[in-house]
Amino acid sequence: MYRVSLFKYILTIIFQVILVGKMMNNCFADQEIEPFKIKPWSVGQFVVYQITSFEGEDADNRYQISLIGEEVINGKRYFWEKIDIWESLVTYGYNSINKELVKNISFKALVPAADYNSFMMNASDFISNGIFPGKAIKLSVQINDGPWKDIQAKDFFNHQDVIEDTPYSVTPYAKGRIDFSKLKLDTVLRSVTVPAGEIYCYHFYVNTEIDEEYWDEGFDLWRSQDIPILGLVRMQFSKTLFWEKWKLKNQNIKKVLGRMRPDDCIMSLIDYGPK
Amino acid sequence: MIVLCPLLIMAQNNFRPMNYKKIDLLALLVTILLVGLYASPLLLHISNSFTLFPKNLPSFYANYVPGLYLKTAILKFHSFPFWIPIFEGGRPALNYPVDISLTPFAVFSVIFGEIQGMNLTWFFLFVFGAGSMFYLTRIVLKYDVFGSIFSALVFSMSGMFVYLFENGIFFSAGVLLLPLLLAFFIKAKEEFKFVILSSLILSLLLISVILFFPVIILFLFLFALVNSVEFKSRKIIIDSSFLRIFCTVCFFTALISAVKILPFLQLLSLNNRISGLSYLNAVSDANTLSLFFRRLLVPESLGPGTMYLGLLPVTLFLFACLVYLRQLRGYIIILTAFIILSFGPNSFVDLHRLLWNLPIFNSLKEISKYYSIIIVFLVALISGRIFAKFTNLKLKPLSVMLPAVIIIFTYLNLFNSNIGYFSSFNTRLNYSPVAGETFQVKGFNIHHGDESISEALFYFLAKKNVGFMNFEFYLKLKSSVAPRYYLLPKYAFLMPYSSLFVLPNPYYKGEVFFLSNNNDARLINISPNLISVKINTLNPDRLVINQNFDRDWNSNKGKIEGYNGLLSVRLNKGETGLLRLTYFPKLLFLGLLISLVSLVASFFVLFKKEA
Repeated sequence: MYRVSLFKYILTIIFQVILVGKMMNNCFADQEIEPFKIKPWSVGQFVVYQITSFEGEDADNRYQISLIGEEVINGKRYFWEKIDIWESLVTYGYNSINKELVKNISFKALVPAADYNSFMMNASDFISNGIFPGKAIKLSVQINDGPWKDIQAKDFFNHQDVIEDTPYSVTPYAKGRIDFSKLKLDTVLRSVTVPAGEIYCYHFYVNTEIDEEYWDEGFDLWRSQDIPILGLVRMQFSKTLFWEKWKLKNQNIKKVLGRMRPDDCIMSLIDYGPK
Repeated sequence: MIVLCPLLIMAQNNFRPMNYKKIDLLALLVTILLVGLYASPLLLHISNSFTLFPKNLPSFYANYVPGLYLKTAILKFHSFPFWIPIFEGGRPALNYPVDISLTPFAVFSVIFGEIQGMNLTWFFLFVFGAGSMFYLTRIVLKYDVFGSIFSALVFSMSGMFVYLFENGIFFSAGVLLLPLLLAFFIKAKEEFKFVILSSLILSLLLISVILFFPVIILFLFLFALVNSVEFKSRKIIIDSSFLRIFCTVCFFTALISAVKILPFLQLLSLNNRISGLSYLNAVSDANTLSLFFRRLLVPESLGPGTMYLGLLPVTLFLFACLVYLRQLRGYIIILTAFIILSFGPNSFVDLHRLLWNLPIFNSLKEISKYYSIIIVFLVALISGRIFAKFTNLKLKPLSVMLPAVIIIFTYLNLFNSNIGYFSSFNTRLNYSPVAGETFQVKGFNIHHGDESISEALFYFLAKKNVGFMNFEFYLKLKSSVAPRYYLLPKYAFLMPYSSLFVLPNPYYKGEVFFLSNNNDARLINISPNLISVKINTLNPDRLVINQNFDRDWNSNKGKIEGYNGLLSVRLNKGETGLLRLTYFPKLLFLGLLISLVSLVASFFVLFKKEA
C-alpha cells in the first residue's frame, strides 16, 4: 500500500507540473504553485469578513461563509456553502447611539469544492467570481429570519435590467473593471495584520495607471493557504485613483472643487475556523 | 467695466436730487446684470446636472425627486400629490421638509422639468437675492449707491451659495431672500403693511427652507432684541416695538404657512427627533478658528461651512466696524453671536448646545452650514457701509473711481473664484423612460460611502415610477413595505467590485393581495392620492396594499385598517368591482383653509392700506 501511495504521489506531482506548463494565465507560467494552494474544503470551515475601511470610516457589515454540509452527486463531491450577510444598523437616540447587527440575507448553495487547479488555471475568474453562487447546483435564499426558499440560480441573478437600463449603467459603479491580464504576484510571503490576527500572505495585485480611464480599477488581494474556503485574508478593491486621473485629464483647471473622498474599499478577515 | 461706465459718468456730473431714482434704477440693473452674468451657466446649461463621476463625489440626484414627482402627478395624473407611493414605501408628500410643492418655484419644475426647473430657480434667486440686498442697503439703510452694489455682489456671489448648490442643498436657495425679509422687517416699524410683507416672505422661507428657518427666526429675534435696547445719555432706553413686530410677524407667519406647519407637526409626532441624532453627531463640521478664517478668505471648497468672500470684503467689513461702530453695533453683536454658534463645542461657550434642545435645531447636522448664511449676510451688509467714506472724499474723481475699482476687483475675484462650482454640473442625462408599474426596490449593505449611487438610483428609479426604499428624506421611519427587488453589492460574495446585483424578493406577493387564496385582487392603478383595485371576494377577507398605513386613506368599500404597518381593507363576502382608495389629509386641508383665509386677509389689508 505504501508503494501504491508513493506512486500516486509522484503521479500527482507530474500532473501538477504539466498543469502549470499548460496554464492559461501566462504571467504565472513560471510561478510556483504554493501561492495558489487552497486548504482542502471540509464541513465546519468558516470565514468572516468585514469592510474595515471605506472612506476612512469603519463599517460593521459582515459577510460569513461557512461549509455546512456535503453531497456526492454522480461521483463528484459538492459542498453546501452558507453565505450570511449582516448589516450594521445604527440608530441614534438622545445622547446615545445604538448599533445592531441584522442579518439581511442568507444563501445556501451546493457548489463544487474549489482547489488550486481551478485557481491556477483561471486566476482571473477565480478572484473575480469570489463565492458567487450563480452556478450552484442547488440554491436557497432566506431574507432576514424568514423561511428558506428554494430558487433557480440562473433565474435569480437575471434581473439586472431593473437598474441597468437606467444611467446607473454608465456610472463607475457599473462600469468598474479590473484588467486581469495585468495580474501580478508577489512571491515573497509578507505579514498582513487583520482583525483575525497576523497572517503570512501572498500578494496578488493589479495596478491602475493615472493615464487610464476612471473605471479601470486597481486591486490588491492577500491570501493564505491556511485560511479556509478561498484563502482570502485582505482585499482592497474599487481603487480608481480618481483624483490623480482627474488632475492629469484636467491640467488646465488649477482648483479642484468638491469633496475629495477616497473611493477604495478594504475587506478584512475578522474570524475563521477551525483554527 | 462697460456696465459700470454709465454709472460713473453720471456720478461724476454731481447728481441732482431728481436723478436719484434713475441712478438707483441704473445701479440695480447693473447689479442684476453682473450677478446674472455670474449665474449664467445655470441658463446656458439649463439641462445639466451633477456629474456621475467619480464614485463618492456627492451627487445629490435624490433632491430632484420631489420636483420630478410633482411634475408627473400634475401632468400625467392631473392631480396635486398629497401622497407619494414611491417615497419609502408611500408617504404623505407635504409633510416633508424638502418638499417643494407649495413654493412658487415649483412651477418651474412642472413646466420645464425637475433639472431645468431647479437650475432656473437658482438663477432667479441669485439675481433676485442681489436685487433684494440692493433694496435693503440702498432704500432702507440709505447706503451709498456704490456700497449697495458692493453688498449685493458680495452677498449673492459669496462661495457659500454656490457651494450649497454644487452639493445639492437645493432647498437653501430661498435664503437669498433674507435681505428682503430684513428690509420689510425694518420698515414694519413705519408702516403696518410691511408686517404683512415680512410675514409673507417669512412664510415662503418656512415652506421652502425649513431647515434654515430656525436660524433665520433666531436672527430676526436677536435683531429685534438688540434694537430694543438703546443707550442715550448714559441711560438704557427700552423700545419694545421691534419685539412686538417680531411677535406679530411670527403670528401671521404661523397662520399663512399653516398648510406646511400642521402636516410637519404630524410628521414630528411620528418621530420627534427628525434625524435622530445625538448631540455629538449633530455638531459635525463646527468651525474652528483657523477653519473659520480659511473659509472666509481661501477660495476653496472647505466643507459645508464654505463661505468665501475674499480679503477685500472682509477688510472693508473690519474698517466699517471700526469707523461706524456705534451705528453698526447691533449687527456686530448679532454677527458675534452667530460666529460663536457656528463654533459649536469648539467655542468657549457652546451656544449651539443651548439651542439644541429646541425643535429643528436638534436635527441640524453640519452646523456651520446653517449659521454661515447669517455670517455671510452680515459681513456683506456691514462691508458696504464703508463706501460712504469713499464717496465723501474731497478729490471728486477719486470718490468715484476708488469705489468703482473696489467693486470691479471684488466682482472679478468672486467671479473667478466661485464660477468653477458650476463646472461640476456637466452631465446631461438623456433619460426619459416610460413610467411603468409602481413597486419598491431596497438595497442591502449599501455602505454610507456609497450614498451618491443610492441617491442617483433613487432618482433614476423614480423616473420609472419605482421607489428606492433606502433613501430617507431627513427622517428615519420604519416601513413594512415589501420590495419587489433587493440590491446587493457584489463584494458581499467576495467579488472585488462595488456594482450591484438585483435579486428578486422571494417573499414578494405583489402590490395588492388577499390573505386568503380564495379571493381575487388585481391592481389597476397606483397614482398620487388614488389606488384602484379590482376585487372579487368569495369569503370575508383582508386586502393588503403594499403601502405604508396612514389614517387619512378612505375606501369606497370595506373598512381601512393597518396590518403590520401596511395599508389594508377589511372586506365582506361578495364584494366585487372596483375598490377605490383615496387619500384625503384632513390636517393638511385644515392648514390649507387657515392659510388661504390668512392670505386673503393679508392681501385685503395690503391693498386697503394702499387705497
